[in-house]
Amino acid sequence: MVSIARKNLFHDKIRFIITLIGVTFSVVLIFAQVGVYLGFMGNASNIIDNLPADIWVTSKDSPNFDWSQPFPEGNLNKAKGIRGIEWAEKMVFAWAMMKLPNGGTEQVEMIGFNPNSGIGAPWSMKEGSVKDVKGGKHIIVDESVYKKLGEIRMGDSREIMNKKVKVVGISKGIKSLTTAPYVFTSYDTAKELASYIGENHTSFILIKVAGGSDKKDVVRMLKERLPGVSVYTKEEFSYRTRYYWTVSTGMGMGFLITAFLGFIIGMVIVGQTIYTSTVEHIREFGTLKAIGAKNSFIYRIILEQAVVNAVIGYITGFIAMKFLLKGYQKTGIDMVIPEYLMVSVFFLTVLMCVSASVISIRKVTKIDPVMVFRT
Amino acid sequence: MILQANNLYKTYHEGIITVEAVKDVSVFIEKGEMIAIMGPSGSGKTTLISMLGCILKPTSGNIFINGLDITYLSEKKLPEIRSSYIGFVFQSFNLFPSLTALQNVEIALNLKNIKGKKAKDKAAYLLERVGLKDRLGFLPRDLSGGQKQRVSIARAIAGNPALILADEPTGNLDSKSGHEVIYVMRELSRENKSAVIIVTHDSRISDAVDRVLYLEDGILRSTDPIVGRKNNET
Repeated sequence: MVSIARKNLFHDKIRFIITLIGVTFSVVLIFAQVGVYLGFMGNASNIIDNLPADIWVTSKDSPNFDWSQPFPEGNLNKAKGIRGIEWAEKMVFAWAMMKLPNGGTEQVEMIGFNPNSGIGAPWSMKEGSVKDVKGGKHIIVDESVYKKLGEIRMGDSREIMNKKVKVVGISKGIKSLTTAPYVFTSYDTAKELASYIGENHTSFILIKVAGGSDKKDVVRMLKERLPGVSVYTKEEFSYRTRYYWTVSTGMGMGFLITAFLGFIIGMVIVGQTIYTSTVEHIREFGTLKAIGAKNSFIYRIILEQAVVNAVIGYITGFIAMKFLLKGYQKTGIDMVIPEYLMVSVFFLTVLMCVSASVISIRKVTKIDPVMVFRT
Repeated sequence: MILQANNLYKTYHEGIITVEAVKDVSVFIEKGEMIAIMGPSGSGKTTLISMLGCILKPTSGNIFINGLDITYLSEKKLPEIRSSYIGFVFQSFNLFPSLTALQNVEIALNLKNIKGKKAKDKAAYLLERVGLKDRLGFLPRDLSGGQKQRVSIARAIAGNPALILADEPTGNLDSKSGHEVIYVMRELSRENKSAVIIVTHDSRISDAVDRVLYLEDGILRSTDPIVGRKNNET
């Protein structure tokens, strides 16, 4: 069957290219905004998502991982006394200042974990071992922080809160949303370096639910037993953290509004070009009606134009996005494009183009075929 | 009888003004017959042909095509009637500029659910019949006016219509091309037993048709069957 839609589209190459540029721009903008947002959110809940705990005990109503406050360590023993727990471990989190070789300082997010259990330790090591933080003021930094902290090698010394520390490990792929680098160390060292935490205080209690026990039951019992703190499942705390950064700070809305603008821009460009094309071909559409085409036949032509624009625009946008991804990686910004996003953006692009063609469909619906007899 | 229109009226309302474009016109046409509707501008020719082509509903009166009263059929059913019984030839050709001559004819076959190779072969045959065998892959912009009109004719006869309505088919053509186009229409209508109604200003066409209807101020003033008889004798 002759495809009038494709013939019309490819016949006017300049208009087709302009439409494609519009769709491509829109696709890239949506990918970039949502991808960077997902990258940031992945970093925001990075620690929560990757540590092996099922339940997180935090200071009362802690809005997210980075804003946690110290609470009494005594809660750990209370937690351990609850049925259905495989293990419970304390972990400290503190903001600290690291002195740079050039004399400046950089704020870091310090995580102190028990090196014997390894719970709270970085899960992906490039060099060294998590157990090496034992036996002194030893730290592990992530390779992604080189830009902020300068190139750090194994065995280098640095100062945190005016105390000398030694680099014994380099982790990889562990970034924070706040852009302050994560520094991992032993629980005791962290508390010594960040004395504001308090001697008998901790920042988190991480809990693993025993096999066969119900996580909800354990959370309920913990809430009853530990009234001065908050108890969240891993998923809840991860969501809470991401929700905070997305909604409470307005950051997420910023990204989503820009992505939405991309959608609107694409829709306007496609809508305008398809409409112009429809108006230019109105006589042919009228002729089709006159020679027996039903409205549905003409709608299909317009919708096919929209879908062809969407598919080709998506493909070119996707290719452009791949280049953009590499560019972002070089700058150190995480852009995450999961498969579900690829599929979603594809359908969003089709929706965008099809929605844009609605005005043209309305125009065609109103064609009076008598026009074919007018010159 | 292919077409019978009885006491057609068409009234338009423009604000407080009422215009009677067609008044009490009755037309009939037999299989294989070719007639011309002539008249000055504004005489109601286009309104009449639009009603006969099931594009415009009359204010009153009845239209029968192949014995079927199509006057009050719903808008949804009319495309099927047009596709089944009527072929159109337009003054401005109304070809798709992005489609080749072959594809322009093919699309009319597609509308009748004839697709693929069968449609291509038939479209090629029809273009050959109108003398465009060597122009199948040409876009309309690469064809002369006469050739475009012949593509338009091939498209009109693609569905083997009982009735062909041609609106000023020679209006945009030089006299030689116009003559060729009318000749082709005459041949094809005889071959397919299609009836042809031509709306025209071109007085030369009256020599080629069986009857001429004169329309003035929306009223059918007279018919001229002499030409028809003359043709039958030859």
